[in-house]
Amino acid sequence: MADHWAAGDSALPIAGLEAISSVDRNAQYEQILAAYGSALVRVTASYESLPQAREDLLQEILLAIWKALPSFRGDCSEKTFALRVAHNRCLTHVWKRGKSPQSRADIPEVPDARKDPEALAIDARRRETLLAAIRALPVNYRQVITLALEDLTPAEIATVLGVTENNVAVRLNRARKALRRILEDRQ
Amino acid sequence: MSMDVELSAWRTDWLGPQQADTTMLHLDLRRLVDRKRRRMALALFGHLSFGMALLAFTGWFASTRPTLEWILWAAVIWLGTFFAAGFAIWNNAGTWKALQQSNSAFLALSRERCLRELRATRLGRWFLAVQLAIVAAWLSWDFAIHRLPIRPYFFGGAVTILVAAAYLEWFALRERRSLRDLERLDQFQDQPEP
Repeated sequence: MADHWAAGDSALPIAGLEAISSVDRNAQYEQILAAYGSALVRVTASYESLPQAREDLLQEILLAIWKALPSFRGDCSEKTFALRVAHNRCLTHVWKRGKSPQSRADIPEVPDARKDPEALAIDARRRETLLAAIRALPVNYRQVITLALEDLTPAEIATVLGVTENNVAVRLNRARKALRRILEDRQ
Repeated sequence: MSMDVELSAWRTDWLGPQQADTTMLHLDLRRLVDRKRRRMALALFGHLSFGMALLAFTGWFASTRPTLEWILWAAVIWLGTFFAAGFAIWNNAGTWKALQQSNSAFLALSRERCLRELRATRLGRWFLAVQLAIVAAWLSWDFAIHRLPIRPYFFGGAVTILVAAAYLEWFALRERRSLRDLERLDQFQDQPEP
């Protein structure tokens, strides 16, 4: 896994950069869904904890991507495009429904692998704890941390958020501190 | 734990196993898109049809009764309709919320759209007041010469105006709340370190 943050690498990945305007829209959509569907599910989960609401939000994101596809000119990677649309749709979700960050009291405790022999179950629980902690972050921290966890470069995150790379670095630093504090509280 | 090890550990948890839960992706999206597109086309068709029918009816009505009063009546409706349509086009220009824009551009456009909607409601109030003045003067004359029965017309007019005014106020209230929520959301963008 390339660690862009350690290396300070701001170059865009080559894959996915090719202009896709000439490709059939449905094929493009299927391609994006196959490649980044899991990322979209994860982003949705970082905004909504209720399964039904999560499914509705995901539907809206997929619809938004499908509708935005004709205007995609390949000026960024498909992943950046998909995540930008997804985060904008999630912002609308937070804005319109007045969703506040999840209460910290609802975050499960971080499990200790030494106490539980079921490693898979522990992994799942740890994932859920991380997800719940992310949901407890303010929206701007949530955005930057989820994009960093999706392995986007600082330049790509700046493109998604519409801020400078310096701003991304500052915001990510603060987001990490806030996330660390929440997780430590649960241990 | 160093910063990068920490981020890597979180990333491992975040990404999870390869068979991440993607069952939600198996949705009949195209049907959903088609349904929404049909609904939007129907709504647009409905608005256009209503406008055309209103213009056609008033034109026809005035042409079959070519007196100054009815020609004036049709002219007022035509002018009002074209003015409202022109304002709507001008007011909404450049506020199409493209989801593929960056987050900050998207939020700025959303705010602009709320402000434009509020401007539309302010104009709506003036428009309603002007219509009310015209209709009141017109009907007063009709009542004075006893051409119209006062009670049903007065009642009908009052109900129509109250409903229109209530709708305008509800819409303005909704947009103001939306704007407040948006500003609260935007505050997070540059908040100081906690």
